[in-house]
Amino acid sequence: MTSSAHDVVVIGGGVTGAGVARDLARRGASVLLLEKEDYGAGTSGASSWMIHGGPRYLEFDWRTTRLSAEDAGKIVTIARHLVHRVVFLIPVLPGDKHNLERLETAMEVYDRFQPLKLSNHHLRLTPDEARRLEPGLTDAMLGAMTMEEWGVDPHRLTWANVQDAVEKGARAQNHSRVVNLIRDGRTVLGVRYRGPDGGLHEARARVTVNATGPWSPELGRMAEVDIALRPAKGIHIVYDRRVSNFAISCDAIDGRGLLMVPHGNFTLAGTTDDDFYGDPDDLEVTSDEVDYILQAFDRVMPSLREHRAIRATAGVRPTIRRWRSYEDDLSRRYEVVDHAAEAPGLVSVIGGKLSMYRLMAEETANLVCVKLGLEASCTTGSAPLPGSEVEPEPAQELARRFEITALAAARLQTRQGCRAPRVFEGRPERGLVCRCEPITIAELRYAARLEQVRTLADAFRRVGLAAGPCSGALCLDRAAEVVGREIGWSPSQRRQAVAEFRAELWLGRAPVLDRWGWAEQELVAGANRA
Amino acid sequence: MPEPTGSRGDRVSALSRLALAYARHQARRWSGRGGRDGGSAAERLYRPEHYLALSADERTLLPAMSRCINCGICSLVAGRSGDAYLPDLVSAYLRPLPQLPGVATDLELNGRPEADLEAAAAACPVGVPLPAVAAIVRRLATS
Repeated sequence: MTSSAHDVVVIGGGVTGAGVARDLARRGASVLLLEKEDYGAGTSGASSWMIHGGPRYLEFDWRTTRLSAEDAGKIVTIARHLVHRVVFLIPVLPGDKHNLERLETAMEVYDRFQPLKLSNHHLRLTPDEARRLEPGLTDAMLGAMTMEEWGVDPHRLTWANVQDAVEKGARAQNHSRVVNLIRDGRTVLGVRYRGPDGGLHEARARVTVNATGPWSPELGRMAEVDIALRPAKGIHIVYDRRVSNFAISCDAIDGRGLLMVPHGNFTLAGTTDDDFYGDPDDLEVTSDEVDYILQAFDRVMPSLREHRAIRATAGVRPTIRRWRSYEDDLSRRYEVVDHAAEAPGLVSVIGGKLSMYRLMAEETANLVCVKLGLEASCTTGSAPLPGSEVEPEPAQELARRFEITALAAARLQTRQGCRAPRVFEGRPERGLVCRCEPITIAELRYAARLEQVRTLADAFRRVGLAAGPCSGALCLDRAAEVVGREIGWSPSQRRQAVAEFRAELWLGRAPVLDRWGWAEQELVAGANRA
Repeated sequence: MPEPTGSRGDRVSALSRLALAYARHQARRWSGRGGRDGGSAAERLYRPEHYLALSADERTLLPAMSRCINCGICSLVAGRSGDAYLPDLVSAYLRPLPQLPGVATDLELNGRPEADLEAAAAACPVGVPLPAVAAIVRRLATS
């Protein structure tokens, strides 16, 4: 067993934990970040990929809307290469929860917050105008509004926070599961964890931060503290491309608002929001959940069913516990909990949402700094994340310099920003390993070497491996070879890595496959048998 | 007035403020000061950012284009279109639509003849309309 000592151990490598590690490292603390699976693999990655102010919170919680909008503005500034504008078109149909005038009232109020996140005010559209902008919308529409938000790749956002923390002196390890806490009486002195090598390690720290999202109660039990959440499961359907010009919102059968959002080169439709009492490590998407979403969009965008869904994602929101509320009415507010009375040395950050991760991290770091006696102030709201330091060169220029396709260059820049040329340093292998995204061998090698890719699922999160329409049909064996060469997998380990990732992908694919998806699946199975 | 923060009292306060905003909104509508030409404004704001990529006719073809199962038969029949491998037109290019205007160089024929897309489409086992795909991708890439 190896042992190390730090000012702070942060448990949980979702976007909040990564943000806490970044914030503290930038203030000069020595930090160890531990993630049991991969960065952003839990709640962060299963989100709607939105940095938004949340107009629906205006009915409950204006402070959340303001804080969200303010912090969204900061995230948009520090993570320029990871964000993209998402323009919503909100159609109003007869019988909807909000009629046109009520909806426009909400939009007018929300317009006050829009400048905080560098967004334009809403526009009111007649049915004809709305259909001209978005041809698939239903004829039954009475009118529509536009509303601007921001989209973000939560996997890369999480990684960028980890990367910045590491560049400022932190240590970060994925595939490192905390097995118990080191305690002296009730005082928490650090953690014991199983590292990626399978070995048991000990890390002592003056403060231990529990940023494990829906796993917070489980970690709390290790310190004999009660953390009360009301976890909610949410699923999304993923389509293989942008199936609409604008993001579309609609009412579900129970009146909940659902979203269909074109991001980069795919579309997310969701989400459900159901109380969840199971194991957050064992999530399954049911056909009922998929049907609930599709049924809602049948009313506003009937053609959605004709498009090709390639997988579904599932996650658990760590909502703060409250009685007598429908799941959907629960606020996405957060709390930073100092367990000084019952478990000195332990701090938890619970609740919240992706849009507010930076603010949650800042408040957590503020508390930790008081405990450590550190007086440095927070810089995460203004210091750019790695890749956003300067404007990237035009994609065609990058493509010409490194002899790759312009599409590969443009997609690479959405992940690496101005640091894209770095992936070609050393061995500039320009061939494509994944054609759908597309991903060069050089980028995958770079991720395996420098971005802690230890499984093919990690590569999915870091570079988008198998995220496209073929869902890995064509690229997994090649990818296993590239990653395996870099991190020393034997041939049998490569085969095992492919089999494990295929099984993982299948869990998300099975609930949504159409006949073309099945045909592709058959083709791949046949090719693998041959 | 402090902003509501989520308690029951604050919810009442939030709803009251929304009610006041609603009254103001209705007053503006009734006085004829509420109208704006939203359609034209949206065109001006969002067309330059390539949000309005596909026409209505092209949109109706999109589901058929998504059927591609990446079997590669089309490329065996017809080779490449410029530097692009034919299945990539569907699986890679016809996806990040707002980014396509930056990738025109990938699709330049550089004096080579265009692939026989009709023959490729005829060989496609799932009926992807490849000539239409290529036309849309080229139009967007050069727009």
